[in-house]
Amino acid sequence: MLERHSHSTEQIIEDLLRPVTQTTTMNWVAFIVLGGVLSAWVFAIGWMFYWGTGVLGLNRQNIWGILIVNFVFWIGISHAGVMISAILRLSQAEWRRPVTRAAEVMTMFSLMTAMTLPFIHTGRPWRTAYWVFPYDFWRGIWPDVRSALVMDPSAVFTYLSGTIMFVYVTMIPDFALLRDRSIGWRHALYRVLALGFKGSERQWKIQTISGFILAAIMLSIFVSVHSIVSWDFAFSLDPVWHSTVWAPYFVIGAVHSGVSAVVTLMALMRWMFKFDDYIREEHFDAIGRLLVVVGSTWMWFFLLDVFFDLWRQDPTDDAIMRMRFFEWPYTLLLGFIFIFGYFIPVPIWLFRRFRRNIKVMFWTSILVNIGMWSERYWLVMPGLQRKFQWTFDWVPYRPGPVDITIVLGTFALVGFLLLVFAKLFPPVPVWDELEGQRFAGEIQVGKRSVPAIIREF
Amino acid sequence: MAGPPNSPGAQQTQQPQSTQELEKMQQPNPPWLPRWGMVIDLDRCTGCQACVVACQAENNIPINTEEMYIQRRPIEWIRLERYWDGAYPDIKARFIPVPCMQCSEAPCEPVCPVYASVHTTEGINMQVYNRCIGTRYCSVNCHWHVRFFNFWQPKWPDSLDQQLNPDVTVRSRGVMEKCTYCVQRINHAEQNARIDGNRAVKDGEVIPACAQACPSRAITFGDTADPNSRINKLIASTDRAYQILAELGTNPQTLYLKKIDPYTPAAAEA
Amino acid sequence: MEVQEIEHRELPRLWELPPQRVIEDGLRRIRGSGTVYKVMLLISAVCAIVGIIAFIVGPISSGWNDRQAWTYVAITFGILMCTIGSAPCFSVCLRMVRGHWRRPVNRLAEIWAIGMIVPLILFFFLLGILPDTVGRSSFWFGWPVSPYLWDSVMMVALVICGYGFLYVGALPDMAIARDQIEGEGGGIFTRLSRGFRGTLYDWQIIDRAQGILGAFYVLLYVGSMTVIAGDFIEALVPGDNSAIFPAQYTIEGLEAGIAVTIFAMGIMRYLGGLDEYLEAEQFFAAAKLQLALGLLYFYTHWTEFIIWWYGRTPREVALLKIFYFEPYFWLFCVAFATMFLSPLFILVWTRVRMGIVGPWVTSGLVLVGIIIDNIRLYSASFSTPNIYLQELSTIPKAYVPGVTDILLAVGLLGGAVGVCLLGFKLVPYPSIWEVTAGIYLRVRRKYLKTEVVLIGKPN
Repeated sequence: MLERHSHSTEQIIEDLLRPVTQTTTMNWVAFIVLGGVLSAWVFAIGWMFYWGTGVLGLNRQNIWGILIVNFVFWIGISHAGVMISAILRLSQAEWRRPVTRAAEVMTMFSLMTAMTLPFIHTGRPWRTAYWVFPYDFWRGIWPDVRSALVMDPSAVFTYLSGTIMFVYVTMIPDFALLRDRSIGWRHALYRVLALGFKGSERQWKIQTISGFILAAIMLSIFVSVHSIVSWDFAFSLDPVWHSTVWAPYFVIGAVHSGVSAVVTLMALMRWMFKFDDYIREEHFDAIGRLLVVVGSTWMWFFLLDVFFDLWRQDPTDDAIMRMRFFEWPYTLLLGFIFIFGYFIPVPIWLFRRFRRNIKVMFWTSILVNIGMWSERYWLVMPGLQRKFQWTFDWVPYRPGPVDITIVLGTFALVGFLLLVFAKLFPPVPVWDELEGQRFAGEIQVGKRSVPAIIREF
Repeated sequence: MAGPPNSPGAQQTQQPQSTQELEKMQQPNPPWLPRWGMVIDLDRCTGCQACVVACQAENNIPINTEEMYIQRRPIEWIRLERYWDGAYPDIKARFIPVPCMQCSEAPCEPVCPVYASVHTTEGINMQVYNRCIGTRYCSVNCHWHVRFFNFWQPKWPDSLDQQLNPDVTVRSRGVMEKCTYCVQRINHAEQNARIDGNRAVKDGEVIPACAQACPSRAITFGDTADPNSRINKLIASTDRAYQILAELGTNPQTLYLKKIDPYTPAAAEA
Repeated sequence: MEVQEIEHRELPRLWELPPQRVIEDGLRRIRGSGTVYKVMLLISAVCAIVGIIAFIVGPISSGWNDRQAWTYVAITFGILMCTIGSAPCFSVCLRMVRGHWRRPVNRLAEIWAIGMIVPLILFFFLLGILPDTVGRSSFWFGWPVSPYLWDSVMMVALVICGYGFLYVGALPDMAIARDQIEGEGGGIFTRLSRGFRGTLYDWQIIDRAQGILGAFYVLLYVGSMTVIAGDFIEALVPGDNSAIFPAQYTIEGLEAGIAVTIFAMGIMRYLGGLDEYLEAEQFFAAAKLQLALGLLYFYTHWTEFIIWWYGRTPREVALLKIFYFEPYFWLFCVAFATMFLSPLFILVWTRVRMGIVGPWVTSGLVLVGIIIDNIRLYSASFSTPNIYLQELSTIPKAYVPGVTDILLAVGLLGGAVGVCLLGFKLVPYPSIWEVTAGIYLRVRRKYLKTEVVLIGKPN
C-alpha cells in the first residue's frame, strides 16, 4: 500500500487497455511460437486418433501414462483462480485487485485443456461423449456414478461453468467500458457481452452481490473437483494409491501449484504489458506470504502420505516406496519435489526482500511448478509399475514422442488462449483498479501518516 | 430351436402354448443358477503354455508378435507367470497360470464409467465390448493384471483370419478384453440343455479351452453351486486350496492348489 | 450533517472509546474479581481435587499394564489438546490474516495456553501405556527411544512455545499494569514486564518474537497432533494406516479451538461486561471461520470413509466398523451432528452469523461434539487387545466408563479450566495495546453523501 501511485482515471484506463489496443512485436512472436507448438499438438492428437493409443508409450501395466499425470497437473493449476478470487474477495483483501481476472481466466483455460486429456486418451474417443453426458443413449443404461471417472466430468464441468459465470460477471463493467470506447466488430461484440450495463447503482449492486454469491459457491466446488480427481486413483486398491489422504493432499497441492502459476502470470503480465504501476511489489509480497502457508501445508500432507505409505511395513508398499526413493527416475523426481517444490522457494519467500523481487518470485514460481509436475508423476506412475508382488509383471514406463508432444502442446494451448484473451479483454480488471483507487486514503496517527482503505462492510 | 423345421429333431421340440409355459421352459431345472468356478492345480502344471495357445485360438485373440512383447502389450487372456526360486545350482522354476479371477466383488466393475464391466447372474465378470470406450480404469483396478487392452487394431496375418471362432466377437482397437471362462461354450451347453428337455447343464459338459488343452489336467472347471460337481469334490478333498491376493477381499472364483514341494518331507505327506 | 441511513448489512461500529477506558477495562479483572469468578474458581478447585483423587484411585492403582483403564485419561488429554491447545493457533491465524476485528479476540484465544501444563502432565503419565515401536506400525523408523523421546520433545516444545507466545503478546500490557496498578499487586508485573518501555526497539522485538513464536506454535501444534493421532490412536488399532487421520484430528482440534474462543467471547460479553469490545462484528467473522472448519471436519471424515468404503477389503471394513458403525455408532452420530451439521445449518445463514446467540450456541455444540469425538476415538483405540496383528478380526465391544473414569475426566477438565481462569489474574483482558492500536487506526470520514470508516494499514 505504500507504493500507490495516484493516476488519473483516464490514465488508468488507458494503461490497462493497452494490451487490447496495442499489439507489440513480442505478442506476434509469442503467437507464432505458441501457434507452432499448438499445430504439433493437433497433429499428434490426429496421429493418435488415426493409429490408435498404441502410439503412446503405454503398456499393459502402465496403462495410464503422462497424459493422465498432465491432466492432474492442469486441474491443479486451475485451482489458482478460486483461491485468489473467491477467498480473497470474501475476506476483502486489497491486494487481490490486479490478479483476480488473470487467475480466473487461467483457471478457465487450464480446465478446458485438462479436460481434453482424458477424452483423447480413451481407446474410442468418438464414443466418449456418451460417457460425459448423462444422457440415456443406449436403452436405459446410464453412466455408472460409482465410478470416479463419471464424477470427474460432472465436477470439472460444474467448476468450469461456475468459473465462466464468475469471470463473466466480474467482467461486465469492463465490457461496458470497452463498448463505449470501440468501433466496428469489437463494438458489436462488447455491446452484446455488456448486457446493457450502464453503471447505475442498482446494476452495480447486482453485479457485486452476484460476484460474492458465485465466489462462495465456487469455494465448495473447488474442493470437490480435485478431490474427485484424486479419487480416480485413490478408489483403486493400488498399493500406494489407496490412501485416505489423497483428496486434501491433491487439493492443497493444486493450490500450491496454482498460486505459483499465478505468480508466474503476474510477472509475465507486468513484463509484457508494462504494468509496473498496477502489479506492484506489494502484490508479490502478499502472494508470497500466502504461498509460504500453502506450501508448508502441502509439505505436511506430502509427509503424511509418505509416512503412512510406510506405516504398515507391508512388503507391497515397501517395494513401491523403495522404487520411489532409490530408483531412477524417481530419485530425481523426488529431488525436484523436495528441493524445487519446497526447500528452495519457501525459505526464499520467508524474506521480505526476496518476496518483493520480481525476478526471484518469477523463477521460484517456475521451480515450484516443475516440482509439482514431478510430484504428480511420482505419485501416479509407481502405483502402476509395481502392483503387488507380481514381480514377473513389473515393467518400466517410458513416455513416447507422441505423449511428450501432447503434454508440451497443452502448455502452448493455455499460453495461446491467455494471449488471445489479453488481446480481446483487459487482463487486469479496470473497474476493480478504479475502485481500489477510490478506496485508498490516508489517516493521521500521531505524527505519522498511515495508508488506509475504506472498509467495504 | 434345434435344426431346420423338417429335420428329425423338430418333432421332439415342444412349442409353448402360453407365456407361463415359455417361462417355465426357460428356467433351468433343477432351479439353481450355476456359479462357475475354476481350480488350477499348481502341482500338476508343467508350464507348457498349451492353455495360452488354446485360449488364443478359441477366443480370437490377436497374434502376439515379437513387436507386441517388446512393447510389453501381449494379449494373453490366460498367461503363464514364471518365477525363479533359489540360487544356482538349486534353481527351480515355479509356474502359475493366471486367467481372470472372476471376482465376486470385482474391483474392475464399479470403476467403469459406462457399465462395460458387469457381473452376470452366473458369477462371471463380463466385458461388454460394444459399450467399452477404453478409459482403461478397469485395468488399473485389476490387481491380477488380467485385463488386456487393444492398443492397435487387431490383425491376423496371411490367412489366419480364416480360423476365427464365429461364436466369439472380434474386438476392435480401443476396447478392453479379458478371459470369460469361455462363456461361448457355457452358453452353447446351456442352450443344448434347454433344448434337451430343459435340464441342468451336466458336470463336465462345459470345458473351457484352457482346461481342454492342458496335458496334465491341471485346470478343472465346473459349477460350484452344484454340491456333486467335480470341482467341489476337488476343493473339499484337499487343504491346498487358496485364492491369490485374498487379503483384498474380492472373493475370486478362480482357486489355486498349492504346489507340493517334493524336497520337503513334511509337504510330501500332506 | 446528516448521515444517510447505514445499509442493513453493516455491522455496528465499536470501540468509540477513549484509550483510558480501555486501560481501565483491561486492568479491571487484575485489580479485583467478581463473585461469579470466585465461584467458578472454587468449582474448578473442587473438580481438580476430585479429578486427582479419581486419577490415583483409578488408572494409577491399576498400573500401566491395563491400557483400557487409562482410556479416560487419554480422553481428557485429547479434549484439552483439541480445545485449549488449538486456541492459540486461532490467534496466530487471525494475526496472519491481519483482520481488523481480531483485536479484542486475540488475547482471549491465546490465554488458554496457560492451561497447557495440565495436558503435558497427563501426557507424561500416558507415555507408560504406549508400546514401543518394535514390531508395530509407526512412523519412527526405529529411531532411538521412539516414540517416547520424540513425542515428549514435541509436547514440551509445544507447551513452552505456547507459554512464550502468550507471554510475549501480553508483555506490553503487563508493563501497563506495572505502571497503573498501585501497591504490592503491581510487584509481579515489574518482574514480568522486564523493563518494557514502549520504545520503537521494544515494539520491534515484541512484533518479531510474536511472529516467530506464533509460527512455531502452529507448526508444533500440527506436529504434536499428528504425532498424538499416530501414536496414541492409529498405532493401537491393527491395520489402520489412514493418512488423513492426523489431519482429521488436527482440524477437529482447530475447530474446537475456535469454538472455545467463541464460547469464551460470549461469556466475557455477558458475564464479563465486555459488550463494547465483543460485538456482532467479532462474532460474525469468527463464525465464518467456525463454519469453514466445520465443513473441513466433514471433508476429512468423508474422504476417509469413502476410501475405506470403496476399497471394501476386510481390513478396511473392520476399521469402518470400529470407528464409525459398530460399537460407537451413536457417539459418532452425535459428534457429526454437533461438529458438522450444527455449524452448517446454523451458521450458513448470514442473519444468524450477524447475531451473537447463533455463533455462541454453535460453539457450545461444537464443544460437546469434540468431547464426544474424543471419547469415541480413544475408547476405540484403547480397547483393542492385540496391536501386533495385521488387521482387526473381531471388533472389541464398546468401553463403558466407570464412576472413576467419569469423575476423573470431569474433574481434570474442570481443573484445567480453573488453571486458565487463574490466567485472567495475570494477563489483562481485553488486550490493551492491541485494542488501543485499533482505535487509533480507525477513522470515520465523510465520503460523498455518506460516512465511511477508514482503516489504516501500516504494513
